[in-house]
Amino acid sequence: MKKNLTGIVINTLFWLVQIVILVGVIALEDVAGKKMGVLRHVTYKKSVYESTYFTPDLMRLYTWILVLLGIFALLLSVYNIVKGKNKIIKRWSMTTVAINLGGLLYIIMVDSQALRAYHYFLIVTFIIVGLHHTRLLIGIITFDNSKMKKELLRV
Amino acid sequence: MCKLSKLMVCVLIITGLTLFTGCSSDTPVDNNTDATTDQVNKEGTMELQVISTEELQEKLEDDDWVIVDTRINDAYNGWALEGVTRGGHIKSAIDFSANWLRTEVEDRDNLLQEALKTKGITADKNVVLYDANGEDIKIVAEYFMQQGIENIYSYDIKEWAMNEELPMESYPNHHILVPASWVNELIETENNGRPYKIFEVSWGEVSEAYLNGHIPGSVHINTDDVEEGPIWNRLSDAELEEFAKNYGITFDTTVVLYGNDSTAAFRVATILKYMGAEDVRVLNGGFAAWENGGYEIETEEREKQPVEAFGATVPVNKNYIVDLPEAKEILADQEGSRLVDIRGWEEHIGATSGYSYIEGKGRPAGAVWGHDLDDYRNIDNTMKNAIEIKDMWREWGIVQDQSLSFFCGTGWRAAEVLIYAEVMGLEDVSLFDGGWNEWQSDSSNPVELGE
Repeated sequence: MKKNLTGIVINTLFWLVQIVILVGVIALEDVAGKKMGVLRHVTYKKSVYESTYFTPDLMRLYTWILVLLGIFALLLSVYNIVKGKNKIIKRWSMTTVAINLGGLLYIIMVDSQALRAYHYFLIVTFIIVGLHHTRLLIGIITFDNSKMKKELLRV
Repeated sequence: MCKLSKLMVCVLIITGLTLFTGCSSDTPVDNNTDATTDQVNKEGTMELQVISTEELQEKLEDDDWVIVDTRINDAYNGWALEGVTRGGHIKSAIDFSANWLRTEVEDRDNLLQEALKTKGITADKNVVLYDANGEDIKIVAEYFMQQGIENIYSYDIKEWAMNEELPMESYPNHHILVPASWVNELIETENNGRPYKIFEVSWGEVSEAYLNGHIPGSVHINTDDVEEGPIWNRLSDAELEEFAKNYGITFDTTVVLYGNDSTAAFRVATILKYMGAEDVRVLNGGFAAWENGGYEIETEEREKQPVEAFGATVPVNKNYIVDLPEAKEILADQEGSRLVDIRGWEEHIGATSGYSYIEGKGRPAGAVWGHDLDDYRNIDNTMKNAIEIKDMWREWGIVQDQSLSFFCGTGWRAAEVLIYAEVMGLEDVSLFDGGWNEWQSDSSNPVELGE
């Protein structure tokens, strides 16, 4: 029961962190439309990011990384479905594919001029995608441990 | 007992004589008896000693006398208001507007004390207060008396203005800063058939403040329609022309700009003047001046009414706004020109950049400090008098026969000071648009720190 509770707490925190940072960046986008200083700050950061971490070349690289990670998660998901393997890995890999696809669509579909806090959304997207892939990786490594597997299955 | 009776009789006679002489409203101006006793009668209303025009003339050059204009700032600047036949103020008069005492701002008492000190209004001086409505003097006199200033005299400026031979001063371009009454007249007369537009200027889309009430017929201007980041310089000339067309502004339109905080209005005013708009005005004191005047306020949102063409090739006044290369030329010519920093002292010495979106600290090497915007404003956000502005400048080696280019962080504060300089009659003045933001964005530009 105690271990089950730990699993619930970890799982809740995992989603809570994502919700908090996503709400934070949505709030930033909103405030940037209401406060001149905030708008100017995000505009300045946009110019900085566009010339450092998010140059067109790097954006292409990030896109390919997301494509590859997405393919990996998709294959893992298909493998688990076909082979009827670990249910948790199956669920996590499917979630990761969905989140990964969302990240890719954001990069491809959303114009950087459409959002005031575009690059902040980008950072949050990468963090969330990264969190899901990390969780999947940890799951793959640790699920050979049958005890933990049983505990997590209860979650 | 007999001696005591005699003493009491003497005291009564002296007290009686003192009261008798004190009650006369025609007390000579050199009678410096207890003014507080003289000035508040039994009903509690104020009766100040009246000074005649001839007596006032004699006191103009007397250091023991201070002549104080208590009317609104626009009247002091040069507007003929409230039935006064000539605009402006009595030569050598300083300003202490009754409006400042009606204004509710944080730290008001300290600001007023500071104003008294700066203007040399002290208890040991004979103070002549003048107005045109008989009301402003009372408000100021009451405040002065609370401050221990007792030798107060009153005067009606209308008498002075009627005699063309008596000296009055106005700022050469006072017409750029307009009083609320002028704007009201503009609306009522519809500018006598000539085109005119009134704009409420602020950053962002139509604000709650605009929707809560604005000058009738005024359209909102978003400052993002004239400038863009990350440097926040003005838009290209072609884009500015589009802006003007979009808002229905032609080169010969009378444009009145205002805001709750006027800085944005001054920013747009400088850009319009650069473009070639011939008649650009800013409401002195901002929307508060309109509200305090008791004029009509509307809440309906007004739409822009575009026009086909601006009617002139932008920019008509190219040198009114300068960019980085010209700013460097100004710095190279320290004899004939000055790059004047309109930021806070902490920003000037590099203790802070002053902005979350500006990383560099300091000032362009060779720029001189010209004080922050607050030092150019009275307590009611009207323009400070030119004598005090010139005194501030003189302290930092800025003289008005030099070519002066003002800058701040991104061109807002400096725009207001530029317009004030123009009001004062300075001709060779400009705005360094990019200011500190543009200067610090290129690390090869020389920077100074410290005092």
